[in-house]
Amino acid sequence: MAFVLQMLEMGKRESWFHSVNPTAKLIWWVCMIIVPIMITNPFALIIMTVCIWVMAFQSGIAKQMYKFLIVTYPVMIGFIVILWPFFYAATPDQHYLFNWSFLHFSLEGFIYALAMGLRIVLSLTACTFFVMTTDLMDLASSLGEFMQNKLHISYMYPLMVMSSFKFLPELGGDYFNIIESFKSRAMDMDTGSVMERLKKYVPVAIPLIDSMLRKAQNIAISLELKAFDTNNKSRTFYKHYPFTIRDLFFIFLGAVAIVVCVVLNSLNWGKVDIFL
Amino acid sequence: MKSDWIFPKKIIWKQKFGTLEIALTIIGAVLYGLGSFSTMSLAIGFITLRPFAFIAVLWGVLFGPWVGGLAALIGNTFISDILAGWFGIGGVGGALGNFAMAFIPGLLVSHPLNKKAIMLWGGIVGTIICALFVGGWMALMGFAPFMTLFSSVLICDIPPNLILAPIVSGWLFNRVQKRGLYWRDRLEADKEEEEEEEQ
Amino acid sequence: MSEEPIIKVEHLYYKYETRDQFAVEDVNLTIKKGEFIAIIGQNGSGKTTLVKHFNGLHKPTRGRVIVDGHNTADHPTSELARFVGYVFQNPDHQIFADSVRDEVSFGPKNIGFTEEHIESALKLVLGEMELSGMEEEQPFQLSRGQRQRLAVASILAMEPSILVIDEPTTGQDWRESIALMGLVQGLNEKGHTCIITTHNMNLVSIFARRVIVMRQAKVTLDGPTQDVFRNVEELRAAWIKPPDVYTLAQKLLPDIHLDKPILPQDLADLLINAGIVGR
Repeated sequence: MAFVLQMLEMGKRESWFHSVNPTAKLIWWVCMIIVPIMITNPFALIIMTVCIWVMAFQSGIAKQMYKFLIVTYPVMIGFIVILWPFFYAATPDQHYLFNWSFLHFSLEGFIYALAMGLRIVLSLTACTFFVMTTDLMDLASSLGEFMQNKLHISYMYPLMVMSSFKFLPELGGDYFNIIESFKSRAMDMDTGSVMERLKKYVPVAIPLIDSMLRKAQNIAISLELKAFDTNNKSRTFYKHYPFTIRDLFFIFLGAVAIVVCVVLNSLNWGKVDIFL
Repeated sequence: MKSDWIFPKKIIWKQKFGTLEIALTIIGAVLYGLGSFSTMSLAIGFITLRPFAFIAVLWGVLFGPWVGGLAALIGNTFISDILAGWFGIGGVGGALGNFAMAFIPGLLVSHPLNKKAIMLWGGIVGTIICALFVGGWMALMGFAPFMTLFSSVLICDIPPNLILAPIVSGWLFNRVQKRGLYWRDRLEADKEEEEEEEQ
Repeated sequence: MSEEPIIKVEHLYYKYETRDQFAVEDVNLTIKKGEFIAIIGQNGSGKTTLVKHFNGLHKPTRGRVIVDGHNTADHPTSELARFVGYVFQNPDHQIFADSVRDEVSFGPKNIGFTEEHIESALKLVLGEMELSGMEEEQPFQLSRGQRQRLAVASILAMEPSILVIDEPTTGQDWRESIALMGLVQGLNEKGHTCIITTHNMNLVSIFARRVIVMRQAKVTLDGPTQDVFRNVEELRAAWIKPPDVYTLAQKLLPDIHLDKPILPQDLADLLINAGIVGR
């Protein structure tokens, strides 16, 4: 939790990357989601990941990003690398480490798994970079303006997403307070079987949800007091987020990554299969 | 009025969506997202054992399919996933799956005190559909084999949804109804208002 | 009050993950059995962070906290809860049960009291908190003051020797505050060590025998209530306004020695005795 809040704070720093239009960054990030879907060549994936790390250094978030990813990388990669080889289709010409009925583990399977792991690494790195360089409030309001004026979608939806983030620290405080108050009543949340542990969450959930409902009623009242109307499609926006050359350049970076993928694929270098 | 029907007599697709519903969605999303995120120490790869998974089902049953669905979608995708750093990966599958996990029981459970219906539609059907979406999406994207994620969603979410959702729903329903937050009541009240206006 | 220390805090440092500064910095305290202590200071001065160490909700970043012979770093909160009862500021954050009886017996059940033990503890604490006869009431239908007392009762039922109450009087009117603090005083007289954090200086001056002032993560003053409240300079630095009685006493009788906390009536007597005012 503490870490989460720290991550959200990172988005408010100042650097070249932080000042890029949030919608432009969103587009860049979508490109970075598409890239690992298009290619599995481990070298290309590694190079792109390194590029993002260079950007992270430039924007001064590398230390925090490292602190976060050092925990997440191993979990994800471990999961992928351990699981994939067992599901990798068995063919007779592979170099097997062991092969027992439906369970098999071959060198080819392992390389394949490693490539899959690297895809996840790229995805994770891009996502973390995006979250740490973007103020999510800015993102929501720039998207909200775009959605209302261009797509005629009610501001209600971005508002809900944005408010969830806004209330996160406050509600998070309550949440942990309630859990602590149960610990103070000799409730041991960390031991017991899955069943026992689940049942222990019932008494915690009641005051938690109850106090949250009270908050919900207050939020509803304060929305109404500020004349918020779900059907209003002509509300204006205080902050505007025009696109500049810098933003277009950033989108261009994402587009380049996609073009590289297309080129690699057309040369047949895109997939990990060339190494198998 | 409590009914023991496991299958609903009448399905209501429409739901009132005013400021209160917005607020309930926000709160549900935060609770669901925080719950998933804070219990991440029990992580098993992509999916985590989530005691608070039942919030989705509970929100669907108490506050309506749309409020529940949106709360679960926002909570899972925009809070838990973004903060955990795997938004791009679970992405669409997780969003749709979690939406369904709240939407289906919201739509089909006839009454929040009807434990069997919550167990069936929330604990089993909703969760399986969620698992199908998540596992299917990940397999489609080639990130992980279908069965691994499908089964891990089932393992992580069925126990809380099956056990906690009906218990907590039973405990909370009276309080929710007394505050005038139960979605079917709000729908009724709205209808009556409209009828009065017509007259 | 015995001379035996029940809480010992030695060079305690604590830092939240998100912050660069220490929330509690080099705190040293010895708390004796049976004391009634108020910890005061501005919001964010570290009061709550400090008291959360007493039952292990926070573990020291550096230094150590010994409670009744137990190093809190080595014991989970669920174990320390037997010695240290911690009442949270908002009673609604802990009330979950459908009846007062279930609410109060929740903690003792977690510890593993026998049924007869729970029943006798229940009777005793409900009596002490003036909730007798309300066993079957719905907690959510009680008044705010009653809910606050219920929260205290549900902690007391675990029979802790130390009672920590975080901001016991927030959101209560003067009458409810005085009533609650009176009950806490009663517990103190029966031998419980009581520690409260509060912003209400008048309550502190009436009830507390020892006051600890925190400012910017450090303990800056620690001593008998009457001495602390006369240290105007330090209190001003900590943004604390002492009760007017002490300001007056300091102005009119700067050299007088006080051996106990004073109330307006006491000051009036002192002034009359000193011949500053006539009756």
